[in-house]
Amino acid sequence: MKEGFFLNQLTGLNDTGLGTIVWLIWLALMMLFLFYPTMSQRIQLGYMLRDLERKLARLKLVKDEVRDRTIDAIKRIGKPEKDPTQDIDRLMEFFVIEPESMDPYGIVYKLEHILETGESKFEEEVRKLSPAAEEYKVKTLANLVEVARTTNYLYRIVRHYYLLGKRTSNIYLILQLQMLMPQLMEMTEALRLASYAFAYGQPIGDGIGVLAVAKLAYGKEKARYEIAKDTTVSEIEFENRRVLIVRATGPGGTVGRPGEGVKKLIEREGDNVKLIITIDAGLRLEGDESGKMVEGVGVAIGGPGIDKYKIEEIAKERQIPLYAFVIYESIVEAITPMREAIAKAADTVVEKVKSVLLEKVPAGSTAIVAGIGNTVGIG
Amino acid sequence: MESFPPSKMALRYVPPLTFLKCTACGTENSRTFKEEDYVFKKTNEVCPKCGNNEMLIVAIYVKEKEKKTLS
Repeated sequence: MKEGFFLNQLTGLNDTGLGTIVWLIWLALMMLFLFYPTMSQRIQLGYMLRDLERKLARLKLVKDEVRDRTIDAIKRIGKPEKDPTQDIDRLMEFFVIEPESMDPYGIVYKLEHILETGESKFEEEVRKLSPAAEEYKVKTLANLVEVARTTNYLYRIVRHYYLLGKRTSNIYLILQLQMLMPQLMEMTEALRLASYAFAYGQPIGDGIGVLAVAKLAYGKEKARYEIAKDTTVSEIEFENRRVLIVRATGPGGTVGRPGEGVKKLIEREGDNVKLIITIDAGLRLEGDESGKMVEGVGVAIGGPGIDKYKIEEIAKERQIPLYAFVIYESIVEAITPMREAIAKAADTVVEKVKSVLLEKVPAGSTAIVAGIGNTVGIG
Repeated sequence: MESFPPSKMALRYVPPLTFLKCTACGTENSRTFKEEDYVFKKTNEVCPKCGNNEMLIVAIYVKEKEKKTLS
């Protein structure tokens, strides 16, 4: 028999120098994986950490870009006496602590108080930094600082889990973070575009509810007054029906207090209110068309739930039906400059609201139509 | 398991357009957005058709690209 016959039978290779070398390398790798089983996991961890590092770098870039845009906007609009950079950095770390929920009774009003305190403090700080800005521009700048605060928070959270996973070599932690990264990156990019909208006072997708009711009221107002902080009521007459239109006071960036506004109106009007309609932007599912209007029942309001609670409470007490119209849009479209499809949906909503008022509200009675959303860029 | 690289997720900022309507003849016009614009603002801009010097801002939005239709 040929020398090396059995060795060739074992390896399945002809007795060439290259074949032997390849076989030896293969054997060495096998032995390595046999005696060091976590090596593949470490390789995968290293790969995921490098991917996260690139994304974290992008998050930092966006955070710094939004911060710089905020500082420029405050300097341009507010004309502060001293450099606002340090104050902006301080505001970017501003926090609000939620109330204790162990005993949930009364938590809505506790949360309302805390959020109102936080909001007024935040606005006051921005107002101090922008002495030359008009009141409505202070509100828009406060929204811009809020965007900067959110991008900073997103960056810090991702950095925290990245460094923690790296330090402890915890592949499961890194895996969970990596699974969430596409959504977090999308959110960050949306916030970057939102910073443009608030820096220049452009309407955003979330303002579609306000835009719709503003179109309903335009040219027909019999009276206009403030019912709650940053919240306006426009009284119109429609086909012998009195319609009270509640919305945030524009053109500054604010959502107002529509819940408080609706509650005060009902307390004032008594049993004459026969219907409450709320109009808001709603998150669409993937595959849904942006700008599509859908109708339903309930209170279409986002946020922490305070306004929604107040409207539901008083509607239940007075047995007033609640109708809702929602305009589909993505989370990106909600906070970025308003798109054409969404802007054009306002006209569809107005026609639909008119038909519902004719159908459901008897002549001589009153209906409340609340346009929910951020009113930046909408007067 | 690599997710999309950051450069592919970056969104491009497209400035919105301001749409104005003449309060006299109803002609609609559009131009690039200016910082002081807001919807329902009355401006002193001149109507290109009738020369009236009051135009109302009726909309501000990002114009969508026209979808090409196959003929």
